[in-house]
Amino acid sequence: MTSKTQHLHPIALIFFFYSAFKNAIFPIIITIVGIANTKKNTVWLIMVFAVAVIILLMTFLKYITFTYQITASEIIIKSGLFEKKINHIPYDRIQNITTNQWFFLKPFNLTELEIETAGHSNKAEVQLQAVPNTLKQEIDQLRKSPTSVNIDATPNESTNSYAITWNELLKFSFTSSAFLSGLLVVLAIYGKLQHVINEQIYRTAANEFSHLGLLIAIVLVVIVLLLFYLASVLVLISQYYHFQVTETANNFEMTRGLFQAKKTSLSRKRIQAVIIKQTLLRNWLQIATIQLVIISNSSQGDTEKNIVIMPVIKVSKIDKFMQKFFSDIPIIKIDPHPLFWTFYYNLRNATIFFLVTAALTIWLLHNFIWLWAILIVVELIFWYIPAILTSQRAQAKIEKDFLIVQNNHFMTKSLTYVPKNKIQFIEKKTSIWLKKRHLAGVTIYLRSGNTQHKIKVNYIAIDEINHVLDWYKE
Amino acid sequence: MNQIEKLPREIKFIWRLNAYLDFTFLLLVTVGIFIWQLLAPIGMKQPLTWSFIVLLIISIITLLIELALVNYHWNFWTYLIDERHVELHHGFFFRKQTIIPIARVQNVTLKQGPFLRLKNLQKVEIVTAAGSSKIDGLLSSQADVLKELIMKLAQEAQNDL
Repeated sequence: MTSKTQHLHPIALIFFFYSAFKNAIFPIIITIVGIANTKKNTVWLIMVFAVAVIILLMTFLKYITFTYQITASEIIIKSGLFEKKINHIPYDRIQNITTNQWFFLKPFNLTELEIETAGHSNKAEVQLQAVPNTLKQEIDQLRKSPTSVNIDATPNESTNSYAITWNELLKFSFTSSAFLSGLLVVLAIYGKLQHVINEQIYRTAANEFSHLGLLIAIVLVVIVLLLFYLASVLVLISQYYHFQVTETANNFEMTRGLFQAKKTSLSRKRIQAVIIKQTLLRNWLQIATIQLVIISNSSQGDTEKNIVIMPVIKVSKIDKFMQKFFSDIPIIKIDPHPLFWTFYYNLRNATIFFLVTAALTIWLLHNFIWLWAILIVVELIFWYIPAILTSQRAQAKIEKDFLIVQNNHFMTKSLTYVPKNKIQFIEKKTSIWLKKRHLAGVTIYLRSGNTQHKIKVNYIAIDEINHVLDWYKE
Repeated sequence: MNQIEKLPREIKFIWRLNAYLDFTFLLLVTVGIFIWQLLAPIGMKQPLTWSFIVLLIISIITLLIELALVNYHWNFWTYLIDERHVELHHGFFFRKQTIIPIARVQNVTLKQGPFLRLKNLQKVEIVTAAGSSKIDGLLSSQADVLKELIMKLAQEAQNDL
């Protein structure tokens, strides 16, 4: 089944245009700053024209030079105008294939394929922006054919699936803190823009603003925050719309998205651990997120990102979900019995951090009594609540071949299930003072992405930890 | 093998040597500042003199601490290698214990700088898929035994990717 060399569907020009535009954005900004003071319209016109021509030219050249070919044993991708690049991808090197179907690709029966291989590059190795829907199945078929190595002896043919409900999706989107990071990005851009924007304009705007008075300024800030929050909620809903996970023959497939139907598949063999996470807000609403720590050789940007297998699930349904998809994982009740000294050490550390930050705050803001009083209350909450939660939640337990660790980061509770043979190594930490109080800490090292994933619990009973070490050494 | 062992006694020599090397480096910087102080205009003399004194005190204190800790490190840095695990223990006041199953070891790196070669030692780095652990120095013969053992076990262990 060897096909000839093919171009992408012309609609891929949209993607190429977008990426060319993105690459050009920085030079464009610099040029704008450079000619900002000229008032001649002709200069502007020429600039706009030149930029448009360059971007369009890049787009077309990239499109024309990009071809792909599906052969019996590999995929061959050719690209580049001056520097010709030919990329060979044998099927048995492919780790997984993600399909993204944007809404504008749907009517043409097209989809975007991202092929991830075992190479050590940071980006998905190959992106095919607009190819027929059927190509994925074609490649899957070729991967499974006897020419490539297949180790799976007894594929489990039954199909498991689970989808999130509309109610859960809403709870998930409204309790996400994603808008905060979005806000930070915008603030950072604003900070940069300050230099770019004409001083004059900026000053008049600031003047105008100061006339409005403090109250209106606060209202404005609140409105902006609300807008951000709503925008992030809408984005999340569209991203996780119709989230569904299905399992066939030891392969998980996650489908999601409204405007961009995203399909990710993942082999069970690559799973290193299962994590159930709950932020404080979601803890109150009795919902949780289930993530997987997996081996992968590529993922955009952050290599240590866990795969979300279930973005939101009611706590009462978790046991059933686990039984359905991870029947080998034992279901046990986690009920930590925090010791007095666990609280003592966590609160002692919180006190140190609190005193340092409080002293700094008072020293810097001693003229504004109200401000520092409020800040001190915030710091109190910021340091002590996590310390209390950490003490209450820490536990390490053994059940058959699984290590089950519950810990706390800031206000997020995570419960991790790790099979023994996926633990790379273990580190136990204690000191003579901790030993006297029968306490110790333990760090579990797992493989994740192409780096490491650490699971850490501190100040728990030394017997619990010795038990873990003995079990691990067996 | 099969019992808790300390690093070879020769490693103390290496650590001391390293301490003196650190001291020499700091001393060179200090002397540089002293010379600058001699050549500097009047206005800059005072701050330079002060930084010279502070740096000198810091380098002497660092040297003393490093030398004093050599015996502590040597006494409380032990390792154990058996058929299935490598275990490292470090520290007395703050104690760290690392357990690495040999089946999880990806590769062992042996390193030897000029000082280590002088004493016929090897620095051993045990690399797993989730980071590596170090033994500062082993006798070359021991390091080779460890390497052999790990290679043998690695061949038996299945490739689990």
